[in-house]
Amino acid sequence: MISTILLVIACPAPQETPTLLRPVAVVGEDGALHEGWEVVIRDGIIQAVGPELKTPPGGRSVRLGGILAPGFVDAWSWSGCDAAAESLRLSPALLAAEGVDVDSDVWEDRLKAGVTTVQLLPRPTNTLSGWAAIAASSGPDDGAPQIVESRSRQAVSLIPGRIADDRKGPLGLPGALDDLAENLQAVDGVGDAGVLALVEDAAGVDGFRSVAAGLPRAFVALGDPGVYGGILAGDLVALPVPGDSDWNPRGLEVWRRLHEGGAWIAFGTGNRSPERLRFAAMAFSRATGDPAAALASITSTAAAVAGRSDIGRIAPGARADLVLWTAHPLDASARIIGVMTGGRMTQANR
Amino acid sequence: MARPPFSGRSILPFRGVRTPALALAAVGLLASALPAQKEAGYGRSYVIEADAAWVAPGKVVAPAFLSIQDGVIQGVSRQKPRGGGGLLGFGGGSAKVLKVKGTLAAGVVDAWSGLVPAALGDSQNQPSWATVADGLPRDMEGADPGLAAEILAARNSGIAAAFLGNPASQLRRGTGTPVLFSGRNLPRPGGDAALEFALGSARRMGAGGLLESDGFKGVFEEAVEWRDSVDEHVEKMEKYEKDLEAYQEKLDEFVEEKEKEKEKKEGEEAAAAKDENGEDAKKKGKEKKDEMPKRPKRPKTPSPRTARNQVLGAIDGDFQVRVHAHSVADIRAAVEVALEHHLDLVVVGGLEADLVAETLADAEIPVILSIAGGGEQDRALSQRWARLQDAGVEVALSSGGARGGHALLLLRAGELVATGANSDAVWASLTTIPARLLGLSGKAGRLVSGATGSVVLFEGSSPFDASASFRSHIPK
Repeated sequence: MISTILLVIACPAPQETPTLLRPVAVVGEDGALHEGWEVVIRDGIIQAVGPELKTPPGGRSVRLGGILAPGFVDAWSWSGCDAAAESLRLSPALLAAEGVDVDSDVWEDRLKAGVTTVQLLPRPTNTLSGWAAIAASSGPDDGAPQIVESRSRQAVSLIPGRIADDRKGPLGLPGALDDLAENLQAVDGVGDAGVLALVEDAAGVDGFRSVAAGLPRAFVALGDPGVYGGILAGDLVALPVPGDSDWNPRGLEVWRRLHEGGAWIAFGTGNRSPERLRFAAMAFSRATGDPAAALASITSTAAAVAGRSDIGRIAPGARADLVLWTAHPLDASARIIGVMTGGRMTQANR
Repeated sequence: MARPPFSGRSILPFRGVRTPALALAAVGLLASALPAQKEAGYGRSYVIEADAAWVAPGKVVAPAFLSIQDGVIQGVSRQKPRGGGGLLGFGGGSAKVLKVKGTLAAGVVDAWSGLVPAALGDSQNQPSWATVADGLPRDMEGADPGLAAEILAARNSGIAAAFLGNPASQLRRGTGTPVLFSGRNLPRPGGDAALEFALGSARRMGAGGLLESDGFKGVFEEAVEWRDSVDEHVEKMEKYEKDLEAYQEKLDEFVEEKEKEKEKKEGEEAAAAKDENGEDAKKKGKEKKDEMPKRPKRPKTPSPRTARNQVLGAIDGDFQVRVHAHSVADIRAAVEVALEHHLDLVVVGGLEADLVAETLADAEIPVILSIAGGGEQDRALSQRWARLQDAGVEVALSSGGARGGHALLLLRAGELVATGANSDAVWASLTTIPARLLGLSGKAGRLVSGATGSVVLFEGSSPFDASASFRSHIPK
């Protein structure tokens, strides 16, 4: 509680003056605790990280009684966003950012769970579903969620069950791939932002790769990745967090094999509770024996799925989305002391 | 109350034997146990040297040397053990030493697991008296590969022992058994078998129970009535034997008298032949015939039933009774029956057990909670666990019979610590408490001589810490 108070005092919003944060330890990019490391933030951006940093000129130095870790990143979610085209077959111009429900309770839930950033997706009812958006769970406008990027990825749906309605999309995967072949590369901005493809079988993955050649890409792997996940080696792969009844030894083994096979695994909540994100990462750590990859799956790798390298890391140039914990965030017995988004203290311990 | 001969308690053969004889018996038992472990696929002797060891909740030694022989812990110490590592050798002087980084701890005891032998899982119609121990696969290569895979996954998650129950969705679920694991990852029965029931509210947790509270009470009442009828039958049989004796005497007298009468009658007939009033003679003869003794009727023997015998065994204390129950009403009903019949009751599931925590504490009835929860609308596990703890109820944490639940057990338990629960108490809920409930104290739940060598090794702050290496050690 003392450290919470300190953090609140230390971090008046926003950090116009540079601040040296001196926690017990910092969770580095390797996922490990680094005792004695310190962090300098200014204007919502991390300026420096490492041991024995000096207080910036004109700045202040604050001790924090906890572990400073990057805020969690939800690689894909529909919660708190309602962006769907009702009748169009292709809706590449649809913006998830315009469907954000700022009054939804999910934003508060995200902060309580240490989730500072989320990639919001338009509903995957159209082959070209529209632009995904990156939102901070809290922003400068009275703490309301803030759009950080309104065109993070063009969302592509290759889920036959969702696009088989001829009022909205083609009948089946071949038609969807034909549509993509004709239209995807022509979508304005897609060459820079890239594509996030929702797939659920090998045919969708292979087909997408051929029509999206040369574009930055990531996958949301739905269905049973145990059947087709072998062909995702080397790709960014966002998996759904399991529900209560979805846990089974086979699923964990699939995670392990995907990881060992070279897929870069991240997790997204879809419509599920934000608190499941950390739990999925802890289970991933136990399944793979790779805590660094596990933490990255809900921080830096999840941000990479959204096309960003300046989120989900404690590194110079990254957003100061930070969470102060009582222990390493993948320690199940750890609890949150405070949450900071964009350099602003937004959530205290409850 | 007299007991039928088949319902007696098991009696240890050496009860009353004095210490030296007891010691010899113990040595004999231990010596006989070692070959059994070898049969289980273990057969090596070695020492694990670690930075520290959680010997039991709240008890840590550092550094730690753990001696394992034939899959069983021989001892744990701060110094490398000396000696030859013989049969009983908490030795290890010549045993291979495996040096590892991290802290050793006992494997978790899952008091409510979803491990099911294929023989039980395949059947849709399990009898209410099904005995799980009878359906376990033989410990041989290739026997029940599906179960072996599930057990390996559970062991890799840190599980060292578990309770296997009947998965059937019947009113009565028969007798389950605690198990340890063999070197071939198959279950080997150990500990105390338990009779399982699933009351109505247990359906919320997928236990499939349909037996309502009254029915549960009725099962025990019927068994007691039956036993009373057996006692009555014994009394009736005693009376019957006496009556039969009396009958025999009367019959002999009757026959004797009959013969006398016959002789007399023959004499009289000779005279009566002259007397034409034959009616009187006939009348007299008829009167005599009415006096013939009646043979007593043999009392009907009450028919025994296996399922009832199990219930009587539970009443006699031979079996623990595990009741899957969640609602306050069902838990109260189970407690009432337990108090009436002096049952060794354990409440399994207990979504609302915290609401009757004082009742459970007064009756000293433990609860096995599931980490799987009961849906979004249910109260948090941390609240339920804390209320039960505060009331003094013994609580074990389990995977709740959910497939894959083993992998989550330690993490969910760690979340309890995050909400303020005492770490040692939570660790006890995963180890020593479930071991005691399953009758596995001394065999699992702590690092002591004689316990299973299935242990865990962690490098973080605790076994709940997924930010660091966590491994299970499966004995060689």
